[in-house]
Amino acid sequence: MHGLEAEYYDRINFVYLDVDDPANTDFKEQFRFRYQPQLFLLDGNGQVVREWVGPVPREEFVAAFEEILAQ
Amino acid sequence: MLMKIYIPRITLVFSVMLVLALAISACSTQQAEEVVQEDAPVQTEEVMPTIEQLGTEAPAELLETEAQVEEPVNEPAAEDSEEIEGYPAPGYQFPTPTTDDGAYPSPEQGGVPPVKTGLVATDPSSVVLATGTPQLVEFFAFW
Repeated sequence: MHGLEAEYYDRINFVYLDVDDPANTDFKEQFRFRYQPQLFLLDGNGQVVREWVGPVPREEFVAAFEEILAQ
Repeated sequence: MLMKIYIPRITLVFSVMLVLALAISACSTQQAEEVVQEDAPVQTEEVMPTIEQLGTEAPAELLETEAQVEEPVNEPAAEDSEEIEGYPAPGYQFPTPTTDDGAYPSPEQGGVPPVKTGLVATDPSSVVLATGTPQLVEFFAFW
C-alpha cells in the first residue's frame, strides 16, 4: 500500500485505522467493519465508492484510483 | 609291587626332564642378551663446545645464519610492493560518473512523495472523511 501511496499521494488521501484502537470504534461502526484488512475508497464527499476485504491485487487498486480520479 | 618299581623311575625321568628344561632356558636367555647387546647403538658422548672454545667465531656464524634466514622472507615483500606500484594497469581508463538529472524532485519543487516503512496508524482525531479529494481508508491491525 505504501507503494501506491507514494504514487498517488498528491491525488488520493490515504488513511490507516488501527482496528484495536478504541478511538476508531465510531469509524468501524460507520463503515461496518468486519475483519482486517478491509479497505474503502471514498469520493470527495466521503461516500464509499469501492470496498475490499482481504488481500487485493495492486492492479485492482490502480484501476479504481484511475476511475475515481477521471470523474 | 609294580608301584615300588615304577615310581622311582618316573621320578628320575621327570627330574631329568626338569634339568634339561632349565638348561635350555638358560641358554636361550643368554643368547637373547647377546643379540640385544649387538643391536644396541653405540653411544658416543657429544660434548657441546663452550664459549671459551668457540672464541669470537660463534657470533659471526650465528649472524650469517640469521642473515640467510631473513633473506627469503624479504623477497616476497619486494615482489608485493612491485605489484602494488603497478596497480592499476597503465592505460586503464576509470569510468566517468554519470548523473541523472530530474530523477527525483528537489525539496524546492515540493511534493516529495511520502516514504513509509512498516505500519503507521493515522491519528483518528485528524481523520476527515469529506475532504473534497478521494480517500482510501484501510482498517488494519498490528498483529
